[in-house]
Amino acid sequence: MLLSLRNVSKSYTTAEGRLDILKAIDFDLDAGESVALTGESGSGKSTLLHLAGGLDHPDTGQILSAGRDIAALDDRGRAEYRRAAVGLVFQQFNLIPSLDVAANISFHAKLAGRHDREWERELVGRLGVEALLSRYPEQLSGGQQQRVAIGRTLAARPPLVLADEPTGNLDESTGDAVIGIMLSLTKSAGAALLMVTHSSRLAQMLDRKVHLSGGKIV
Amino acid sequence: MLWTAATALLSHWRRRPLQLATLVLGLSLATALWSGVQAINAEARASYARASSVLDQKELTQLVPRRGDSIPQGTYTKLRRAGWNVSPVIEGDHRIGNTRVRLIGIDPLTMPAKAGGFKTGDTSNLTAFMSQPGVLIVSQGTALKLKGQTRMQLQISPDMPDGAAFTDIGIAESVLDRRGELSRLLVAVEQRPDLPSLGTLAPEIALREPGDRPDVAQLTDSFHLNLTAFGFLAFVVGLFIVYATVGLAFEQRRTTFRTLRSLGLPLSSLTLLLVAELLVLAFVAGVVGVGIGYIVASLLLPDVAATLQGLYGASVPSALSIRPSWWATGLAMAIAGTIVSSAESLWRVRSMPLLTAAQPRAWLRATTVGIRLQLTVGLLLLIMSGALATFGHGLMAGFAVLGCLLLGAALMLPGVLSACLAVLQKRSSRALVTWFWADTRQQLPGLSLALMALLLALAANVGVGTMVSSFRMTFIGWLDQRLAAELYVMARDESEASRLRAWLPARSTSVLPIWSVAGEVLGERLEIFGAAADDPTYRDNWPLLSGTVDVWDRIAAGRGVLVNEQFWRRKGVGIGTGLVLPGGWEVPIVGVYSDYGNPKGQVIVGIDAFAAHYPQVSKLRYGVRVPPADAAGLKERLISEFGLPAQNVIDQTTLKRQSRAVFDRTFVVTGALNAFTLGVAGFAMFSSLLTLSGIRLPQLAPLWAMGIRRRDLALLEVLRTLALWLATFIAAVPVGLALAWVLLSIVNVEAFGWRLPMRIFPRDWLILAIVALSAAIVSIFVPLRRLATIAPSDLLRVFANER
Repeated sequence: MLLSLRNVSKSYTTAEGRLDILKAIDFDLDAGESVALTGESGSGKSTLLHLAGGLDHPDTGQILSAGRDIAALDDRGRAEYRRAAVGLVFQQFNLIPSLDVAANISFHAKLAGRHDREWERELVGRLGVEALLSRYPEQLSGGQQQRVAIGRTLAARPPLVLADEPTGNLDESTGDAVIGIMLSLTKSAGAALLMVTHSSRLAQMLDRKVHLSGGKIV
Repeated sequence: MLWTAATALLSHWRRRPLQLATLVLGLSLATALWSGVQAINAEARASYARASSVLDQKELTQLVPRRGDSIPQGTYTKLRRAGWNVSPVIEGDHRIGNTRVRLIGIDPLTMPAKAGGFKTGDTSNLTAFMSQPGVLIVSQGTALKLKGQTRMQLQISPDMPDGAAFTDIGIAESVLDRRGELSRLLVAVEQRPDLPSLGTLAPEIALREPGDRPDVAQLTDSFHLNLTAFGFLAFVVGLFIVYATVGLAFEQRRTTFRTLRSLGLPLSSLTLLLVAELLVLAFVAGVVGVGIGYIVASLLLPDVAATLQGLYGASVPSALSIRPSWWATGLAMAIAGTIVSSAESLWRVRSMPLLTAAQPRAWLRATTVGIRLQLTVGLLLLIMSGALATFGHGLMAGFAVLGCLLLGAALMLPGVLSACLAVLQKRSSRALVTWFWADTRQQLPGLSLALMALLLALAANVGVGTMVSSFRMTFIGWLDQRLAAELYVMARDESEASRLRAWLPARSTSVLPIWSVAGEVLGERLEIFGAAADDPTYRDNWPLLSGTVDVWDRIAAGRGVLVNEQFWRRKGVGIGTGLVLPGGWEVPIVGVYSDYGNPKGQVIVGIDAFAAHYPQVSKLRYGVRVPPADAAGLKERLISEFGLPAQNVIDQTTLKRQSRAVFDRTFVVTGALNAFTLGVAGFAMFSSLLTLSGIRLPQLAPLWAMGIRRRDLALLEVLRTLALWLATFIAAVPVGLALAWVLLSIVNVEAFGWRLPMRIFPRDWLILAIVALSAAIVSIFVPLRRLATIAPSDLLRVFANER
């Protein structure tokens, strides 16, 4: 098992009072598996993704990755986990504006100490961004930026890829192309994929679908 | 409608109180230094005008000699007989005890009623005023100094400036030894209509119209220009803050502007509201700034007064008056500065398409073209500065060189830094290091104004510091040479002086007379000293800048004169130039000596020739050479055995200490202004970092998501700030040295008449670097704390899809 969530709960305090986002969630993800996480707005999809990525920590429960409880790690441990074990793809792309495409793609891999030029070259070719390597994020279209973001994630060869509505800012055909590339590449890299999406059409392209509602998996 | 729109616009500041505080404080600081300096200048100029009105009667028409420095008594008599209603004045410098006063002898019977300062009613007893021993009308301060030093009666007048005294013309004539030689004639307003013309009656004199600027005001122009330049520099640095803050605030509110206009608010009303908002902010900041300026000026004025007294002999009170015009000017500057620095933002609002979205990050991101343009303009200004330094003449050219140098260097800084960062980025292979340099380069446009302000402040510190330290070191070396005698003594009168001349030789190695007369040479009032040039003291110690091989032999033989550097430069004379000295004897110049701190010209002749040409000179002062170990003993004997008062015997160490104290006090003001300017630049940096920290999150969150801890990101932010400050500091050192060179080689020569060798003080730079880096750490503290303690939920919000 690559990732296991055991009895995970998370709540936030808002002006209106306490808001329970996730309620005693149990969830497993195998290595190489791709899972679509669906649900209404506010159902807790992004929160679950953030918890799995070590970006946030639960109120209760365990998040096990390769036998380690992520929830029990301190700030340094979670940072190391994100660097080494997780790749994140966001709807807003979140590329580093000061670096060109080539530097953006190799950035996470270098941080993780897994920079592989051959693999990077292959990724660049399969993503179709060879001509864009010297450009800066602000000079790219949305679809191009998302392909670079996927390249950055997969270049680091993380065992787990977490994608939060990666096509939310793209039109349907561009989105389909991006998802196609991402699925194919994660399979090639042997990585597991957990993807938040509103689209049931996209969800069907993945191995499994998990639906969240009212803070629970249904 | 307008009020509703205004409420929406002002809500921005309610939500961002720190940004509002930065804007108001930035403008206040800028106004404070500017108006503080103006307050000092206004006080000093008012004081010169007061003194001039009292002492020179410049509101009256006067008759002055066309050549030389005196009008014969006969001319005065001729004019009176022809019906001219004129009154004679004799004036000159006179030493009473340890105090030198400007003595002005007047005739109370013919003095025009409009003459400022003195009125016959000032003296209760006209007979006492006009007869021996006479009356001196002086200020309270001068009276204190003269107490017990003169037999003349002291009468205090509140109108009198320090260091001057009115007395009867007969007494002045005798004391100043100007028998039958009048200095000038005051022309009464009431004159007969049928007066014979001056040209035919007395062609040797000229009419001087009233209203000329006081001499001291002209003399101190450069000093006040220096202060103004400093004040303006700080003002410009402050305006950088206003420009950056207003620009960002406008950009952040672009959505609000768009909404208001979509809802039907006319563009003219929106502009009106924004201008009104800026005016209110400028007014508030202006009032605060002028208030702070008043405090700054009050704190600095005593030192400025000491400087003006020390450098120019100008008397300025140490207390500041409140002048409505100064308040009004300070407020006007604050408002004008705000409008100027906000003009671009206002123009953008006016020309903004209705549907353009807000781009606060883009606003801070200058284009490459912009940086290149700035680089080119900066380079052109530096070239212009070099050309002006080579071919320009005069004080204004000197200041133009400074202006072009500082502005050019500041404009070039972002471009140069950007190029350096690009090289560093290219050369680094580690991902985080590459990102660090690339990200620093990206932050550069947002920080460039603050960095330019910092460069100006640091360069001013390095430049002025180098100038002052060079001056200090040269001055101390010069003092050691100039004050070679172990003791300096002064007799109280001529009979005591005569006794002293007989008493001293048996008890000392040598006795050096320090005798002087005032006179006019090449149209300039100066002092002529006699020197015992055959004594080794002069040959071994006197600080000569140039001279003939046999300079001292020729001086001793009365076949040559020395002139001080100021006179040499002002008059364009050289070795061999013949000078006609008072009394009509001509001698060639055989040497030039440095004479720092003295605004006036000076000539030295051999003591024998001096005594022969000016037999009536006061012979009260002497330098005494003894083995250093015997100096204290001789001082004691001069007081106890000979009977001189203790204050009339000064040893070399005390004199040097006093001179150094005067020197150091002179530059207290410069140091304070330097510190203030650096403070304003530090605040500019703080405000820029604060502004940037508000929009940094989207740039930093992806790194955090990829496994860089908040703590490490915060550390990198510190490193970035320190790196930029350090780079700016490194750039500021050569700019500062160039500034020092301009000050020492161009501005000082034009302003004061002396040129100093430039020396380098790396230890001072190190101290400045430590101070600057400490300020950098302070400036980053708030933004850093914000980043280091940011909640993960805030970082996660960056990735949230429904932001």
